[in-house]
Amino acid sequence: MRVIVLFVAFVLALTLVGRRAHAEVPAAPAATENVDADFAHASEALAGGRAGDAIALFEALADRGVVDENVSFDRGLAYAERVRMGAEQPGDLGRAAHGFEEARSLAQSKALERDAVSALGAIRTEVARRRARSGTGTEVEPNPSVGELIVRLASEDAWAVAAALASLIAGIGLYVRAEATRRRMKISGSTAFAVAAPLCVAFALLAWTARENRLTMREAVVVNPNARPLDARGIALPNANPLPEGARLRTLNVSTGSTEIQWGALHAWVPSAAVRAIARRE
Amino acid sequence: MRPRAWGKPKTTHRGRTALRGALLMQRWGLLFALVFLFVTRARAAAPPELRASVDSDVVAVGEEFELHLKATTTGEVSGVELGADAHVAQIGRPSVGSYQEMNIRNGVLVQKQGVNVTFRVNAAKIGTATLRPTVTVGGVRFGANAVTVRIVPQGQAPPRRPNAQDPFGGGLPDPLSGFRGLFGNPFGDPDDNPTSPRGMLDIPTDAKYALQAPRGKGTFLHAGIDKPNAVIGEQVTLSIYQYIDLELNREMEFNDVHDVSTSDFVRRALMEETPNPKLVGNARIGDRIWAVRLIRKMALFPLKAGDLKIGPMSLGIVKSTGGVTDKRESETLSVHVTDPPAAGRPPGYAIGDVGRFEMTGTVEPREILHGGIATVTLELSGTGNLPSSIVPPAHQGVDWLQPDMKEQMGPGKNDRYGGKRTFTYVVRLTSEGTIELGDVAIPFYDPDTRTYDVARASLGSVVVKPGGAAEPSAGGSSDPLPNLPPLRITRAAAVTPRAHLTEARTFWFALAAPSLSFVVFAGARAARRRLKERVRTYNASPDTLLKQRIQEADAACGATDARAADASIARALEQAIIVGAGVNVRAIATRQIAGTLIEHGVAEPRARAIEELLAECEAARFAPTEGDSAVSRERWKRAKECISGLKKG
Repeated sequence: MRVIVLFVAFVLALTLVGRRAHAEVPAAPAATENVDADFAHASEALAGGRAGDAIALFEALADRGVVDENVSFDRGLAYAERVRMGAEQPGDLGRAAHGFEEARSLAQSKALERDAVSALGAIRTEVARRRARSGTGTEVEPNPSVGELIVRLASEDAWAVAAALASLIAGIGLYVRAEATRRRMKISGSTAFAVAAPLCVAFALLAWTARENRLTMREAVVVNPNARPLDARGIALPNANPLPEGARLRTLNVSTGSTEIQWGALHAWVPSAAVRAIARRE
Repeated sequence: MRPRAWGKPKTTHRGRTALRGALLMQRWGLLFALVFLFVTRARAAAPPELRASVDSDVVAVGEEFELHLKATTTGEVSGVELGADAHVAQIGRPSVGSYQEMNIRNGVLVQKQGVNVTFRVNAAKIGTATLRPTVTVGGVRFGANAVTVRIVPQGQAPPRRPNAQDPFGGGLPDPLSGFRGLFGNPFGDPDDNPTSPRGMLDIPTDAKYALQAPRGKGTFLHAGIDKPNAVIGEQVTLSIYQYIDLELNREMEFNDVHDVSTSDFVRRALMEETPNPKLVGNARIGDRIWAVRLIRKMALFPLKAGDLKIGPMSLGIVKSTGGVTDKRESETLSVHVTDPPAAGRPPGYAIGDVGRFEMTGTVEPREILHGGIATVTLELSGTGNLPSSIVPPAHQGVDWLQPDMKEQMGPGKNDRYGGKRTFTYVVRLTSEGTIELGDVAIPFYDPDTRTYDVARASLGSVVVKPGGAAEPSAGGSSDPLPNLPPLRITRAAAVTPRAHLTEARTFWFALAAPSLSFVVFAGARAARRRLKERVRTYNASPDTLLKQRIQEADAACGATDARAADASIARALEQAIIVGAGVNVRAIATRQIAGTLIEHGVAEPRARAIEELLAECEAARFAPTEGDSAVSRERWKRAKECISGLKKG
């Protein structure tokens, strides 16, 4: 029993050390002092029906590196408003979707996330309607792979905690199996180890994958109404429809002028200007 | 027949007719004779090829110049004359030299000979002098082509061109004839002003075209840019020159011309591509003079950031030996392109809008009826990468239709590309009242001042009066994006970066810790068990026991108990016998010990000494009185010698 207590204390101590080490990561530098004022002006312009002015101000904020879910959300709204006003510029729907996707990624509140998803639905419905009218297919969001679905089932930290618990149970099972004198206890220890050890490996892999996704996966949104997928030489892929405006895709590699993307099963290159990266809070 | 009497002849009609025939015969005979004489003389001296030229077309009054006359003839030249008018005067006698040349053309030997004559002439009067030199060959005088020289007041004549006449008879072909038609001749028509290698070093050259070394023989291409670093959209001027060796001694033909590749740039020509490009100067490279032609000049506007390549221009030179071409290629250039600075960037700035822009806007009419339209004209002018579209201000009740765009763009001052673009919008106003059209603004980055600025046109307002046609339905006016969520009017709360368990290395260690701990625990327990066993084994060894016995004997001999000392001496000796001879003598009678030891290979004296020592110890131990400890120490001394001997033996 004393050994089990020691195990638990050991694991908890390590975890706490890890959390403290990570908490020492410096916070992101603060945005410039006029951000609030510019945001207020942009919101006023948008509320006053001056979508063009609002877009300019919101884009200026983005250029200054402001990462804020509300700014992204309102920027999406500004582009959507310009579409509604009949003053649409090519790419407005994609940029609106980009703002909402960014807001969804950054959202800390469920309400904002819900609103962003709702607005994205409206944008993608319009994109799908236009694509259907032009005969280029109505798919605007591909189905994720099984692996992606499993990783997304829980958060990175949830997978990590699950892995730690499974590891602890496996350790205790081993000890019980080795030390117990009664047969029933030995069987219990063996069973606990046999179940917990593979689970620990699986959860650890999922936590690691979620971490890799968080650190290395870059996503972007198509902001060009006619973004044709290309091969590595820059030649349009045969029989490939243009990517739907506003589609969220994964960027694998960015070279000069071209971006390697993955959208569902499609692996291709597109001109860098046709996609816009989703900002992340780092 | 009666002889003819001199004096007044007596003539008859018949006699007059005969006389007239004789005279006619005489005249025709004389004519035939003259023609025969002319033909024979002319055959004796065929007309020479004459070519006259002067070393300068324009000279100052009082200045000397030279007239060169080249006469190609096989006849004998008996005289030369300048044939000048009153504007000039010949100085001295002309210098005359003969020449001969042999050429093989199509397998046939062609021989030429003749004379080169040089007249020194003084420009006497201002005006235009005409000189037509003549040569007398075989007694017949022949005139050369007339040359004119403009005589100007002193100080107004251009610098004298170096000697343009081949003094050695023109044996060298025109070096630039091969470029005619494709790239022209840097000095114009060579017949008027032939070039020769002589005097080349006197040709003025421009240091800015000089290169370290020629990039090819005869001719080559050289490319240059005005700046190696730029921001996206900033003009980079690319110039491509062709260098032509003025001493080139053969004709050239070009084919397979490939233009530069500039896929990462928007390209605008700053000069027309012409088959006869402009000669921009001469360059001295090494000890040779090269004519430099500007064949391409273009403004390049980078489209993206990075080290962007400008591919080479190339052309092939057709070799005289066959169709194989010799390639000439300009340099591959690189421009380091960055984004314009983020600091001070105005809202609405579009990457690539770089230059110096101005914008004006007009709106007509300012008052319309409801349902009417207004025309907004925006004129964007300036230099640099002028945007080809303008995003109009999107306001409620203002419907901007697609604009009509006209442009007048081209090269401007200092090779800056620019001009103006005029956008004409039809604007439909869907609300009544005074409608503010707002401002149209195009932020741009000025690469000269390295600052941002904004080209702005204020459009003012339009009054929409009631009445007029009904408002069009605007395509059904169904909202394409219904039910959008409300605007957020405050920024989100600041968020500190979230900690993640997986970021800590210790977490990954902790995952393995329980299992590892068990392994460590089990391992430690096994190791402990193994160690104990080893210690036990070690303690049971004869050597260890001997050491122990010796230590005990030492200790006992150091004390005062003689019996205990003798007992320990005996135990040490017995253990030494076990180690040294491999036999236990404890169960053997004392008087048989020596024999046993000898049997086990111990030397007899040592065996006897051991037996004696053991016997003494036994006697002392069991003696009724306490022994002397000094004697015991002396006995231990001898016992140690025996032990030592046993160990060695």
